[in-house]
Amino acid sequence: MRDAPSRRLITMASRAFLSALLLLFITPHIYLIAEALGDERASLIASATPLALGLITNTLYLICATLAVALVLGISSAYLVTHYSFCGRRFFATALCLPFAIPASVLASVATSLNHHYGLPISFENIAGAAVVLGISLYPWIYLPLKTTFSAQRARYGEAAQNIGLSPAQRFWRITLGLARPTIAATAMLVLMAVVSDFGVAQILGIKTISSGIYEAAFTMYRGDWAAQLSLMGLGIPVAALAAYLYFYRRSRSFTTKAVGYPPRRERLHGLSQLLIITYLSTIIAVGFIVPVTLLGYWALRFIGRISLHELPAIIGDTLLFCGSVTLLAVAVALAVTTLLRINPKLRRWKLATTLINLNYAIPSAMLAIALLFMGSALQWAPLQELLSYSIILVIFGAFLQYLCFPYFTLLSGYSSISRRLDDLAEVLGLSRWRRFYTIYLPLLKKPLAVGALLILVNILKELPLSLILQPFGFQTLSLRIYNYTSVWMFQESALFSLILIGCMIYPIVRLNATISESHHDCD
Amino acid sequence: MQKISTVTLTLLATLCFCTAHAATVRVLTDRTETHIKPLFEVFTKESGIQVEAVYVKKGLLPRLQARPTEADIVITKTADKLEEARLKSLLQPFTAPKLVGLDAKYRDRDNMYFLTSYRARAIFTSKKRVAIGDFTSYLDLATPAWKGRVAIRSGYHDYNISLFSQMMELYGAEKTRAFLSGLKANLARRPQGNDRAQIRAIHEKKADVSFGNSYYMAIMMSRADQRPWAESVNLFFPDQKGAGAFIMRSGAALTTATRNLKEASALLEFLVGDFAQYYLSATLNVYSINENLPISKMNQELLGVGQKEVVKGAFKANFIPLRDAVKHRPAVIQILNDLNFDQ
Repeated sequence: MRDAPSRRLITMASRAFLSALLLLFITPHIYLIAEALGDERASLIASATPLALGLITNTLYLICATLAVALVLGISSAYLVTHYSFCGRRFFATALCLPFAIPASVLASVATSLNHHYGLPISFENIAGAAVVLGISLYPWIYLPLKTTFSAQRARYGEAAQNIGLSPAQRFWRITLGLARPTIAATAMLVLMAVVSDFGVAQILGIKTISSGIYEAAFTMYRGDWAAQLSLMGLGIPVAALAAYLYFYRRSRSFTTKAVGYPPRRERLHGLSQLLIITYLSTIIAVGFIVPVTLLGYWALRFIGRISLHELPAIIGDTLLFCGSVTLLAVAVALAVTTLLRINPKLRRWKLATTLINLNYAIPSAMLAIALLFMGSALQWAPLQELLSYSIILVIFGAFLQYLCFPYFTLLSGYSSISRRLDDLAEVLGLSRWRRFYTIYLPLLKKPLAVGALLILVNILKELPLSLILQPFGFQTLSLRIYNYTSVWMFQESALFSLILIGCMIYPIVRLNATISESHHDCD
Repeated sequence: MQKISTVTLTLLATLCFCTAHAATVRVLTDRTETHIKPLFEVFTKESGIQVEAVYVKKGLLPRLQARPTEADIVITKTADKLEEARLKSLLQPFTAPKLVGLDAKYRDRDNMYFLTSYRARAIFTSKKRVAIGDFTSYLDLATPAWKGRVAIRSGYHDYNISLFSQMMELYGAEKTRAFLSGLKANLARRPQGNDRAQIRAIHEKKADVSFGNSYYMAIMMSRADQRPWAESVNLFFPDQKGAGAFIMRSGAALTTATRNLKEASALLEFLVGDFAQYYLSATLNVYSINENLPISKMNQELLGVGQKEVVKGAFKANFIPLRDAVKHRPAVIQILNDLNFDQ
């Protein structure tokens, strides 16, 4: 048995570590608030009310429209692959994740080109077009977890509903969707935050949103206070949605029970109904993945002479180094924090405080980058400034702050599924906390670790705003190179880089789908 | 374990990497990499001085403000930012003879920055629906005759703010406000897209005139997918009998960094030399500050067609000093906000 003083020391050290981490996460918010309130000149709302209202209105329209598209695609596709058996079902179950490999800004540039150059009679340069592009790019956020949730639902609920006379439509709405509501709400929240933070699609399609307004305020009007005010407005939208979700989820939680029984049998489809479903799912994959990749491939081959390839290895190297560093750092810190919260009962109250980690994902990346730029410059020490200019430390740090929530919450969820009886058993057997972590927790956390790492990786690969503003000398990622081309309408020249980026994304996404599906063997 | 150690060491080494080149110039620029990097490569070949550049497409000025000595030189496609940087004491004067000897209209009066090239903020007009003489000045486009016929990108874009700031210096605040109000009333659609998107709108008969930079004509003609747009428009230089067309200026300056001053000055002098000026003119179809160099062939053939005052692309430019134009920027932005110009 360890001495009490050494345990107290470890608890103190753990508290210090958690305090330091929370301080790191809160500091950008403090900067935002200070910047928003700091200037003596009139606020954005007072000086430019129509402008501010226009940006907020457009953003809300975009959020609602994107959510509509993403929810319809995500829910319908998840339901079809889990509740029906048809030709190629396993293939579709995996292939429906693939649109996630295409960054929304790349999809926007493809859509623009189809309209500009190939005469597609639909213009995407409006809110509806942006919503379609974002919805197609982001629906896998909803599809992947929902596929798991639908597979975990048990047949007896449907059978009971059938027995009391509910129609198939009513069973779908009240039972299938009803039980999946927490998952739908949580994933819709991720889509919402991604839309608020989006910059690439808004810029390419010429949409005025809060995110584009932040860039304009900061870099054109030179009003950092307005940019901060817009960021707080942008932050307020997911915070309000999160508050509503938490309230709703707490109310409905008491009505869900532990899954007992067998999963619903998939209904075998034939003939016209099978054909319709295959056509529908094929269309989603075609529009979201096959058509864009085909067009990019055609451009890459045809216009390869217009780009210089000798920098390609360095660009790919920078991309992998950046993504790998952020992933490793975030997973390590997330594991450390969640383990501390698990093994030390005195730290349980910190769990609520650590939900603040969630908030950083909701800060528009541009504002986070500006905050870090100026916070970094406040450290007046020449060697440190040299380091910040020449290394990717600040970019890594910014991405870590923004995306830590992914591994953090998957590991938190992983720990919550490990029974506390195992802790009691370990205590009885006299296992030290380190041995408990190494022999009990770590093996059981392999899947949440993998899911968290893959989730953060697929987001970091597509990351743009932080790299754009904080990039050091001699640093260039695939996303940056793509943006440099598409910002001057050199869409064809960006194609090869887009394809390579998509190629880097495919394996993590397919692996993510497989890992999540393995957790529920009856998924596929 | 060995793998982890190797990876960790590699990561640490890369993260802590600092260059230690003997002759190096660091450049902060918002220019497109593919446009300017070839020049840096030629400079390095000729002088042996390495150029390290960071291409900050967004946030050049905040970056310079946050890290004033990170770079030795700042190069920008919108020289208004250099004036803003001067106002924030982020620049130091150059002393190189070649730069000091530039014509007064191509440099700041205290030698804080200089121009590397310029292009006109001109008017693209439909060949079929707009005749030469239908208008002569920018101000004409705010009159009721042009209702529903004008296309323009976001009023808040650097190019348009620069244009409106120069207008305010020339015409005054009241007239500029009246112009912007009239212009907004005449818009064929809400401001969206870039300059070429406006020309495309003319091609698709959604507008008859648009504002755009002169080099886009040559750019569009050289791309098969955009050539039809260019072939459906003329480029008109306004105010050729008056003060001249307003211009967008590219420029360069020394930051307050002092460690590579000699090398930085060498690069700046290179940028105003014959080779760099010829390169910029021939490849980007901008106008050189070296008046002895010929105007690019594309500009000679495509710009100001039908305008008697414009001979082979040579137009009358209005070189309003940046110091006088940029001071109107906040007022211009306020007018745009008041009018809700982009909605």
